[in-house]
Amino acid sequence: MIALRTLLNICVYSVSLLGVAPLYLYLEPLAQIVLPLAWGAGLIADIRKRPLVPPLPATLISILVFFYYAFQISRTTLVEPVTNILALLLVIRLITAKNSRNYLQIFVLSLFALASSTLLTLSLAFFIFLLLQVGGITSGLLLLSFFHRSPELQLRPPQLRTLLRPLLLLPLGSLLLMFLFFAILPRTQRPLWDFLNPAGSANTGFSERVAPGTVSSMSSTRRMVLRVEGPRQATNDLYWRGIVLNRPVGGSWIRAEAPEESVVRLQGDEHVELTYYPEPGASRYLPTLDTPERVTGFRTRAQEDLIFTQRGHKNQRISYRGISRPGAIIITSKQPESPFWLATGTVSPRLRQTAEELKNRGDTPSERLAALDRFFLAQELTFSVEELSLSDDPVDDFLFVSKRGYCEFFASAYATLLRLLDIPARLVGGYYGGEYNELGGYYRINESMAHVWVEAYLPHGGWQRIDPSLFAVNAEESSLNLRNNALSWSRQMADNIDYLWNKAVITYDFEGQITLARRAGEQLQRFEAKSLLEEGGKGGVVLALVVGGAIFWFILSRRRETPRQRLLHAYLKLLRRRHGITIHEGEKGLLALAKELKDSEAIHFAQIYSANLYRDRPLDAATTAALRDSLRRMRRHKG
Amino acid sequence: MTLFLGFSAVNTGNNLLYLVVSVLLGFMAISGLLGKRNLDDVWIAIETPDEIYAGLPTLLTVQLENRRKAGAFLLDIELEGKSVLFPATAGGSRAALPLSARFENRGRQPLPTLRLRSIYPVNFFIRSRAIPFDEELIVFPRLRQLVPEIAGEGEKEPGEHQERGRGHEGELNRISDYSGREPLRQIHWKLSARQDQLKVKEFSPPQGEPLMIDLQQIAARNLEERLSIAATLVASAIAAGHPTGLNLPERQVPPASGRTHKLHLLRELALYDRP
Repeated sequence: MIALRTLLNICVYSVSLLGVAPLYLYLEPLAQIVLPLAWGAGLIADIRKRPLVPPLPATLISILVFFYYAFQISRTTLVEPVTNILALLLVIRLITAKNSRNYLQIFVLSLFALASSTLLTLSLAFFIFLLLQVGGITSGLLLLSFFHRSPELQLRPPQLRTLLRPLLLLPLGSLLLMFLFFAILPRTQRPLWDFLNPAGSANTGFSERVAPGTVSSMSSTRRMVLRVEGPRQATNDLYWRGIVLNRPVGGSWIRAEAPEESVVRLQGDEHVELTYYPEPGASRYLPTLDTPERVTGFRTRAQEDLIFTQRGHKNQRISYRGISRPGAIIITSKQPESPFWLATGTVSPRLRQTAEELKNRGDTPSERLAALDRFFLAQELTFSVEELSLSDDPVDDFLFVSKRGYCEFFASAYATLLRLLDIPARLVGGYYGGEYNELGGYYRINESMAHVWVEAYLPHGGWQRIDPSLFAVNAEESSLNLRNNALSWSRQMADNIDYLWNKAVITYDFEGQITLARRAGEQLQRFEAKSLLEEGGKGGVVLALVVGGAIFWFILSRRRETPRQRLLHAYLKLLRRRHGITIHEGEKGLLALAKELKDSEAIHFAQIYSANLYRDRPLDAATTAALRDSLRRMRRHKG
Repeated sequence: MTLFLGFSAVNTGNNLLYLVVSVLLGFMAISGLLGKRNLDDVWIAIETPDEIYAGLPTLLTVQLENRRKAGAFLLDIELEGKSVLFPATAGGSRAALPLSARFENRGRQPLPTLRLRSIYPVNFFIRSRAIPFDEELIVFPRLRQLVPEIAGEGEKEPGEHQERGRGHEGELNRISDYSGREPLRQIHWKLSARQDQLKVKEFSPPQGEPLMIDLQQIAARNLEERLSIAATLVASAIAAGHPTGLNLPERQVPPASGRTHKLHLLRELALYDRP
């Protein structure tokens, strides 16, 4: 025999622990101290069956706590007081005597505590806490209903075994349905209370201004900035386009309003579809695989030079999809207007002279371009992020004196020279490289991969990508080439879980719902052509599981109906249709009902049915046939 | 609560809150389903004792059979405010529990409609369904406390007989099923618990003179009272060991003794002047 109260206490103490644990670090010291003490004391008091605090003082303390923190609530600090209120109310409930209503309050407070933790942190740990808590709360509520009906109930082992089934079914069923509801619950494009959500950590990534020569060394962290899901690409195609800088100002390049030119098409054969999951950060520019054709996503905006920006809240975790043609040339509607695209910043006489010499080596832009490449190679430049010289004229210094620099030096020097050679040029900032995670099928791009390259406009061609950093003498062994290193297996695994969590849960939004619905529709249309196994790659599996589960349940519930019940249901349905009355099973004797309705066919059915029922034997074939026949006749002579 | 969290989820766009709301909705759906199934395919029968007297509390036996594979939980079977709880009945098994009931009028009457109620699986909603029965039961006339003179003919008053019977408690004759007539303390609780059916200790009565009860000779204010007194006489005389007969206006029942005969007489009285 096991007392119900013991089982219920186990549920209550584990649920409250799971509810407060994710909050604990964010609580005020008072709550942090009182909480574990109360938890332990309450547990001991419940084992000894002697409550610590009588109800009246407990209520008074609850009211005090509530008002103390309620007065701290303001528009900016809402979450913290609320979490403290929740935690302290839970404390009070734990150390007082518990009736069935108090047990329910503990469950509700614990769940609210866990829910409020989502306003403080978005970590994956929440999901684990949620899973465990769902198990605890559902079992607890089930036991609570027994407790409510009969508080001193003792359960015998066979009864407990019977109870095991709903005890498993409730949490598992709830969790299974959770996935379905999570996918279909309505979402808004722009949440109103966005400010309540925890901000993602800020990242810098590539900068919106290229100013070589202003720092002597570049720090490069391996902090992740972007994950991109899709097939593996050729290593030399891994240019992630972030921003276009088109105007040199002094020694640096910035982004300015460019003369109007619209992209007509991209010239390139390959066609790649990728999904991007940027880490929330400081930059509103959304990187895409160069050259992007288009980006879809509710919070994205495209600009003329194939640059995409994020609308709205910068610190929001988002995702977007993009179609790219790696390395494609951008064909525009008209030639770039010269004054804007050929403007240079301050140019040293030495550089201007070099440009004049290069100009003389060819008449056409392509010839000049080739000459420029040869010049770059001849200078024997070294790619380096350290021991850089600080200079007022970094380009001149880089090309002729120090000959050391990182991508910004290469790109700005190259672009300046291109413009001096009357070839429109611009800088493109973004990332180069990426660690491909084979497990998850995505690229991981971190801050140290930030890169700048050049786009040159060739007549009858279009904007073409040129990476001058590759002209470095150490291009092969420089850090540029180390950017494609794979992560260790364990780090890949950990990264993968984090990735899946962010992808499947945190960034799921209205757009995600539409994509899922669209994919489901497409899969249904193609269903006959392909096998289910091939189909179910990603979201399809989940959807298939849910639909399959529903069908299985339906069949199961159908099968639970005996042939007799099925006949009876059919009969009652017919009666309803013939006489327009609602009949509940078992409300009235069948025969009495039929006689009351003066329906001869119904009486006939009821007679056969009742006669068989009282014999308490399964229906034999003859009776079944007779009943079916009677139903058929009823159907034929309606009303 | 779900609504509140749902509102917060929509307004913050916080997917973790969405998860919490989803799981709550899932829980509601599943518990609704479990609760609905819980009352399905549960069959209930009532076993009535042989003797039910108007106005006297009696114990009905509620038989419950769970014809599902899954267990049935927290089933309350309710009759006029009184209820009996079946906490957990495994799939495909039966259980029986006594339920106290009281009928006010004599005669043939339909078995009362029971209500099957349950708060399972979560104490948020009560589901219930009515359980009507096609069977009927016969309620015997009300028993009365008789003064010694009416018990008649130098016989000892019924109370005394019973006392003597109780005095022989050590030598009980046999154990039989509870009929509804026996005082509750005569119930053999230990045995009843083991057999899922109420058992009573029965004692052998002494033999006595034959007795004829004439309904119309009984001095009382009205027919109901006369019937009531007659029933009391029948019960006490047979218990005292007198072969007893009945003289009704239309017919006569010759005296005899035994339990079956007693039931026959009481039935006659119960249905007298009633369809």
